[in-house]
Amino acid sequence: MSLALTDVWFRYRTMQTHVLQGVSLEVGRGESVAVMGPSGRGKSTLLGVAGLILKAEKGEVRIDGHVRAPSDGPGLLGQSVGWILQTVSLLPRRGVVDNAAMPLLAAGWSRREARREAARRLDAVGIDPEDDRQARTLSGGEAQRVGVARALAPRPVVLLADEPTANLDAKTAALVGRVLFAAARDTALVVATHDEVLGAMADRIVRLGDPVESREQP
Amino acid sequence: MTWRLRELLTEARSGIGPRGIAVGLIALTGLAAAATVSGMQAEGAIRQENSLRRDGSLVVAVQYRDGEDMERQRPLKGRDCERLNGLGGVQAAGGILLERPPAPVPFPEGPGIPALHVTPHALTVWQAEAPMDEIVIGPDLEDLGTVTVGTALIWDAGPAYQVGSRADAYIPHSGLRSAVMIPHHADANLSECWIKVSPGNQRLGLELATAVFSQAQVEIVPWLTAQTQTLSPTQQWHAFVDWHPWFAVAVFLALVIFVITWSRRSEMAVYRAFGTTNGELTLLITAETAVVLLPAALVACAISVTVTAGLADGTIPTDLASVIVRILGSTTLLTLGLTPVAARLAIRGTIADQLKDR
Repeated sequence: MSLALTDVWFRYRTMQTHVLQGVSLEVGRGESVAVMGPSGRGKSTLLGVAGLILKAEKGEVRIDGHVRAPSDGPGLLGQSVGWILQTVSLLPRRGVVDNAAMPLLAAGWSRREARREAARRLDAVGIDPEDDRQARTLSGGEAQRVGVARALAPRPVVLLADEPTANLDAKTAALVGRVLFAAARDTALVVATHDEVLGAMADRIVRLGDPVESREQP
Repeated sequence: MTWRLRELLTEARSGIGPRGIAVGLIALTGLAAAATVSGMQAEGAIRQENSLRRDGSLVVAVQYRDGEDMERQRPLKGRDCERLNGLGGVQAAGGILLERPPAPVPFPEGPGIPALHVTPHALTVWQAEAPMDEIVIGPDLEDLGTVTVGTALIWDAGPAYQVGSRADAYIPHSGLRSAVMIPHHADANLSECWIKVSPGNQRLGLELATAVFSQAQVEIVPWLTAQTQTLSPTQQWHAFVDWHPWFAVAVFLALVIFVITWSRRSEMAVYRAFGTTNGELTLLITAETAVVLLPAALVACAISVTVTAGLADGTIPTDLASVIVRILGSTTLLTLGLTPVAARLAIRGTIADQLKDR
């Protein structure tokens, strides 16, 4: 199993109640899961725990079969665990290729090789790498597609997408969703979203706020 | 370290944005100000030290004291004084002969001119470039106009000797200022012997004089007694602040770097979310700082040298330029040394919290 969360409990220090109460989730390679539910029910928190940037109070996180904790984050983040963030998180004054190449550079690739691989990934999500524009000139949809290319560049085991279409119009959101699910078919994809259209593209939907409610996609 | 060092440095160079330029401009202003203030202070200090040295702060005076019992009088020997030349720590030694020469006249029946016999190195004690084999006129005497450089002096009916040069205007010895000095071999007794030592060797000069002239009837004293400066606590604090602008500027720049890095926490979080460790981020920020700080230091150096030279008669001595370069070097190195601390403090916290800042 690429990603396995077992009986995970999490509470923010400033809150009395637990946001995550005994959540378990398993996602295999090539599988996609949409985590849905009202705001404040812990969708982003679940991704944070799965992505090793939040420490669970109780429970276990396994990535690619190994128990992992946030202390393992520096070696895994952006590499085995890819992130697509809620808000556009590109370096605004850098070109799209440099942005997409960043995880590869952080993994020790040479700039030339990293840019070549990043260009391939950008091409796959419909961004022309030859037109190496500064990220700040991109539209929201383009920026999010660059984010997808960046997250997938190091071929992660797990890909976590936190509200990837939250700031996009419906048409662009549908495009980004299609690109995301198509590009991430070799990884375990978990998408936290309010967007029913995006959720419908996943193999499975998990609704937080009702821990037992989970249904297979038809 | 997962980034290749070369790629991390390239990333630092490419990552210079408006904030980096702002750091560069602030650094340029701070460095130029620190170097200029320090340069002006150093210029004042160097000028004061040169003035003290010119006034004889490095000279130990050995003065012959007339004894009441002429039978037991012990002389101050010229040879003992002259042979100190060449000893380690001694720049020059020489003096005035006890026996005065007859007063020469500038023309027959003219007024008698005060004259002194001096040992070969006597004038070398008081001025860097001093002739050893010609008659030298004191500046005060020449200002009177009776005798000048080139005047032939006559002794009785003997041959005439021309005044070869004039002593420097700042010679602090009143006797030398108002007489003509006639070089004489050192095989005679002296009324005064002066020992000029290298900087830092004043104590050596006193000990040397005591050792060499202990048998003679002499008084050994520093030519110039340095004034003791006792500062109040407030004055001491002011003096500390005044003399350490480079330190203050380095700390200020480190604070600026902290604030700028703090404002980039979300950007730093993006780096962290994609595999960059805190150590690599710290190195990245330090390298970015170096990229803007080093050119700023070079420009600040040029500005500071120009301003200081403009305030100091249009020229800048080598030692003053060296002070400015060292001040800038110290400030730059201290800033670069503090940058990792500032960066580490600014980026601490969880990635999740920092990403929320976006």
